[in-house]
Amino acid sequence: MFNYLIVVVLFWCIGMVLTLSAFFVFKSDNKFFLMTGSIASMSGYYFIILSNNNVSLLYILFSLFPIAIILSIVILHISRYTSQFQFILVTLALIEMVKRFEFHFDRITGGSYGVRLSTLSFDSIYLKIFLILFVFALVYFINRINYTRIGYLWEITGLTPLGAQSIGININKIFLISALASGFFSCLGGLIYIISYGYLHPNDLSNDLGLMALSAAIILRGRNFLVKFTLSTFVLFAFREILRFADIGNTVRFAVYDLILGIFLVFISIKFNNTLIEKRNN
Amino acid sequence: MKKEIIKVTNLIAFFGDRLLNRPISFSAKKGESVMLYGKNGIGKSSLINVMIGQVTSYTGNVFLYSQKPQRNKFYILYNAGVRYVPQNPILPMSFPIEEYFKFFRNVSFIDKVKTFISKAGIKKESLIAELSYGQKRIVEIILALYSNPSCIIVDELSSGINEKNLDFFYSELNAFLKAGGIILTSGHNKNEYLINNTDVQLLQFIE
Repeated sequence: MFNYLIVVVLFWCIGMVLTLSAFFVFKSDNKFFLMTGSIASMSGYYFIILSNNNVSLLYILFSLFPIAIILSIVILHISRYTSQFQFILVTLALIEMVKRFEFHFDRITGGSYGVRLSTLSFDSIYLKIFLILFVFALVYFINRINYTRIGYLWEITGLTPLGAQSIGININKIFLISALASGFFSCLGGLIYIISYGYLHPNDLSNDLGLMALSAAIILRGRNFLVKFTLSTFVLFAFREILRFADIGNTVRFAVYDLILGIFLVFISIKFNNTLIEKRNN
Repeated sequence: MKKEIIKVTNLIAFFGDRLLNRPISFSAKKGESVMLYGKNGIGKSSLINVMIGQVTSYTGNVFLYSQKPQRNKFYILYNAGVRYVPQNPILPMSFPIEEYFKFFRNVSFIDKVKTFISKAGIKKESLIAELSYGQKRIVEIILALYSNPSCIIVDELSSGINEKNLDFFYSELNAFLKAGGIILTSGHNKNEYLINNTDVQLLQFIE
């Protein structure tokens, strides 16, 4: 029972970190809103490639984070020179490229079966509890940042880029910082995943997770950050994991989850539409 | 001889493949003001957008403080003292007005702004979205005026502002000009002079 609870909370934590990754990007510019998906998937697959060489955790820390951050800067530059629609297409193309890579080089990536990462997994319960506490502390810290000058700076840049410039804010710097934050958080999500599961299925770190994180991030604009954040990530990530272990059969499980996800997405689309209208009015 | 702060030579702004105006040239030194006027759709606002770096499709030369305006780099001009007030307010709608003032590093002028805003009947707890069009414009103009500027670019100063406040702005801008500032405005009517007492360099757009 305890182990089962830990697994659920860990998955919730991964979702939280990925949502933070989407949140920073979405707060500063809604153009990047598919970026988190691509970065999350790419960092995940990069993990798989590394894992077969029996490398240490330290090596991954020093090689994965720079690569994810470089990737986020590249995607930032692509987004600067494309329109919103073009950017979505480019991001989807990148995700598709990664997927093709994964299925084509199945000797490295494990193909559609996934890959076991026994050299990297840690069974220590203390490490897992530490990770959970770390993520909750991180979320509390981000909540505090939202109500400081830097948090407002992020928000005003997202709401009115020209308005932010007209009071002397260097918006390019804000975009860069949010891209770096996004790369960092998606990497952290992948790292927690590897440490806690020791097994990586391609579906778990594809655009699927990134889009769920994005959905959670969209409703976070405005007040009551902590309540919205906890609820949305719980429904989208922890609840999915609870259903996986529930003894109700596959069909019912997927039906229940899809129903809840559908209701959630309706609310999200209304909220997202309102955000776009607010942006257009500016 | 005074240095030319704004220098525009043979400028034509484009919108797609459509020309927005005939080539236009002007310059402004310290203590001078320029007013662009002409009918709707002739390219006044586009020209101002070129000058702040928001529109990059143009031919000719534009120099503000001896540098070309670049896209998304208005903060360089802001640090040189250029303030921009657009025709449609670009304030963040979901912010309470009090929190919006937290962005300004130089706090000394904020008290002056707050007293003016309370006089204009704006509550400081209210959201920016709840303000009327004219009130939003007053907030933007007053922030530009009091934040220690050296050059103010205003698109359609008179739109949405009542007579009493407009008179106040005129007198403040007049004092600003006498102190060596530069003003660039646009409007529809050349009788609608920006500053009653001083010379205004009027620039007409011709089709």
